[in-house]
Amino acid sequence: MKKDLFSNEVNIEVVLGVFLVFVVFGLAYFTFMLSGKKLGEQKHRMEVVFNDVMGLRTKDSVVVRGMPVGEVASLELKPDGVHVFLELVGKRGQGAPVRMKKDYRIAIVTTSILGGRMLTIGEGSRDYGDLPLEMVFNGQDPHDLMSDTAELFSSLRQGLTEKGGVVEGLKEAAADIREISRRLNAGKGTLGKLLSEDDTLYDDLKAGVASLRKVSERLDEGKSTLGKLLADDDQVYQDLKATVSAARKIAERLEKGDGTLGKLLSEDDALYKEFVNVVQEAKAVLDDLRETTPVVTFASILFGAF
Amino acid sequence: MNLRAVGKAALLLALAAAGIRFIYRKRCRIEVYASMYVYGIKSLGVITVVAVFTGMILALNTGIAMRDFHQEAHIGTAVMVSMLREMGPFMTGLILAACVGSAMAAQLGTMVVSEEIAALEIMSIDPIRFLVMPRLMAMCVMTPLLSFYTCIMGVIGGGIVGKQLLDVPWDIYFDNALRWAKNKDLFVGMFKAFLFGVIITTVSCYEGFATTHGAVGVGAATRKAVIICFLAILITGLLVTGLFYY
Repeated sequence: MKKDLFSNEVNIEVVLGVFLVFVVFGLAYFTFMLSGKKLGEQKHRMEVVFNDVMGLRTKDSVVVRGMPVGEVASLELKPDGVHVFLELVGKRGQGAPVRMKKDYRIAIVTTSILGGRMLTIGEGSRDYGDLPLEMVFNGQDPHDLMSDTAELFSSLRQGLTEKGGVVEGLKEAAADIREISRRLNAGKGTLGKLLSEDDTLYDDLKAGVASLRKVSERLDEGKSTLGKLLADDDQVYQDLKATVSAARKIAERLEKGDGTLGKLLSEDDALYKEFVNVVQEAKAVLDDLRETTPVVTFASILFGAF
Repeated sequence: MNLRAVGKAALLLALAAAGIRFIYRKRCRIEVYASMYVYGIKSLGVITVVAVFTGMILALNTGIAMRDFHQEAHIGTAVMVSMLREMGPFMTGLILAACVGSAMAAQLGTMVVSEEIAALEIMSIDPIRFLVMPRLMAMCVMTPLLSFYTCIMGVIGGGIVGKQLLDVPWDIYFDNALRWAKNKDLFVGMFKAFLFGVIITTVSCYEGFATTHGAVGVGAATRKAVIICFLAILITGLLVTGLFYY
């Protein structure tokens, strides 16, 4: 009985001991994890001054090229602005995770529509040398998503409602459409006449279409000159071809200077000169005739009287 | 529980605390170990179930609400912080008040009505040092540890719901859970649990010692002890939260 009691007591102590060891070990591990410290990591501090931090809080993320490299350790409101102290985590012996250059950019951005904030660091161009992390950096004024959205909506509202805006344009367009509709209803204009109950224009159009159909049928049947030209029978084409061929031959002969007309058109001007001489001689003959005509007339009258 | 009763309970607590100096005596140590085993280890089952389901419910409710904003990945933060700050100690306190507090009040009440306490006094054994001090010591040690255990179980339960129902990977869930919780949350929660342990022991032992009218009185004392413990836990939780976070 005494042994059982002792055994029971030992069991209780063992179970309790195991439980306590596990829980205390877990508690210690958890405390270490919640402290945010990790083995093999080194923390670097950095100070940035902003005019406005837009609700940035401690523990908000610090991001470089989309990768979290630390968090906001603390904020202090001073006369020259809000001093934000960052805690950047890098591997021990490898230095800080950022290399700040002359053209760096540090800004506060909104992480979600619920209003979370994070601080983004743009290190700058590699052409410049590294700046010491101990210096005080200047941050850019933040863009508040909500205020930007409100401004956008305000601009849109102004654009929609002010004079000459979209709404007024739509109203004018609606008035124009209403006027067009009224004119169509009244049967004014060609389209109105087409849409009106008066079918005069329709009849004219119908008659025109019928005439066009007749012309088309005549063309199909090969009637009239145009019809013959369009017909499958190629007699006209053959005639035309023969005519063109004959014309080509004539043109060739003319070019060679064959025939009277060819000689006239050729560069050899012998015929031309001969012709000029003939004309000159004819002219002289006419002059002679003109001079002798009164004498002949007088003589014929004189001798005619006898 | 009038002011006289509050004073008597405080005196009981003070006497029990004063008796802690006898902890090194073997008899006391055995009593403390036995109490720790009964009140701590034997409560693990119910605490585990309650904690896991509490974490699951928290994660599911928070996740469903946050899914509308595509922020369900942050349920780890919500579950961890709420478990550490409030739900862990609160659930532990309620479970221990219901299981352990009622048992303490019933046991001591029965000893009173059966005049076992009077017999101890006749044998010059201080009933407070012999009966209350080991219970107080055991509860002061075990309640914070059980509260921490509840938090861990709750966070694991939340992680299961996050993984299975909300498609939140384990690593993201625990990364967010550890990212936003602070050591302050953990230790304030454990301090709260310590206070709950003290309250449960004090109220239950006092109600047990104040039992009259036989078996009916034992039942009434048990019921009263549990109700007062619940109310005291709620009020103390609010006060401690206000003290450290407001």
